[in-house]
Amino acid sequence: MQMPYAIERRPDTGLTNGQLGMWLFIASEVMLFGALFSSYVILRVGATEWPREALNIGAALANTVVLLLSSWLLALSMASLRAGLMRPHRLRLFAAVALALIFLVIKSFEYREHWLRHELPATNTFFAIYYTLTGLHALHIAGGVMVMLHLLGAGRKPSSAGPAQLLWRLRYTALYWYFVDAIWICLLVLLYLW
Amino acid sequence: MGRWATVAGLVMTMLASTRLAFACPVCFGTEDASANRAIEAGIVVMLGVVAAVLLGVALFAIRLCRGAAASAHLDATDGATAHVPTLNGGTRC
Repeated sequence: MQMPYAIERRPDTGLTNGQLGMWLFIASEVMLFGALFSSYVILRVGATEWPREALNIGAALANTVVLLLSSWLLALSMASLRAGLMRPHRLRLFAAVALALIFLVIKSFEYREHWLRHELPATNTFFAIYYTLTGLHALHIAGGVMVMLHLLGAGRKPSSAGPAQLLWRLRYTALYWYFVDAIWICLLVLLYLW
Repeated sequence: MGRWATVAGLVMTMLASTRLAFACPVCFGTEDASANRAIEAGIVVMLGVVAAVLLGVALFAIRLCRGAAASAHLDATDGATAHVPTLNGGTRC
């Protein structure tokens, strides 16, 4: 039995079940990050000094490029799948995963640098909120990587709904991934540039 | 009568102890403190985020209403049975 509106859009809402679910999830994520950003602003505005220069702006800019490239490849992968080109789709999705992993590697090097300088979450409020925000974002990246790996592996086999279901799965993933991108841009501005 | 007297008593007690309503012992009475500015900025950011999410929810609700109305209109004009499910059982918003 096929669940209604898993693939075709519901006529009155114009959304599939998955789209609605993903937007609700993203709304809850916006509230989560919004509360943390608000906490950051309170700490930042109230602080008499703020050790922003302790952060590696070069690594952050490199990570921005890596993450944007990953999103671009995900969009290309979706376009290939829509055109029925399975091999380019898989290659591009794999490249998107690889870039996401590179993001995590660069981030871990950044963390290592701080830990070697004894800049730990307990050092001061700046590092406490820095590790909280970037760590939570890195967890979201790791979650996205797992979903994309699933789509490359077991999840690539469409169920009874056919190949259209795979395209929708990829669309939901892309929606999430663009959100993670947007959060990173906010982090870049708040943590590294402000 | 006894219940109303209890409620009135509670209200009077709350009004008499207004110091309980002074929510923020950090910034109360110090208008220029940096903590004040920081908390104000934080509240503005949080309000902005909440407003953006609520605006999205409201726009989606409007979209649902329009979709439901259009589907109900289609049902009425085509004389079709409920092959297009609408919200509220097909009633207009």
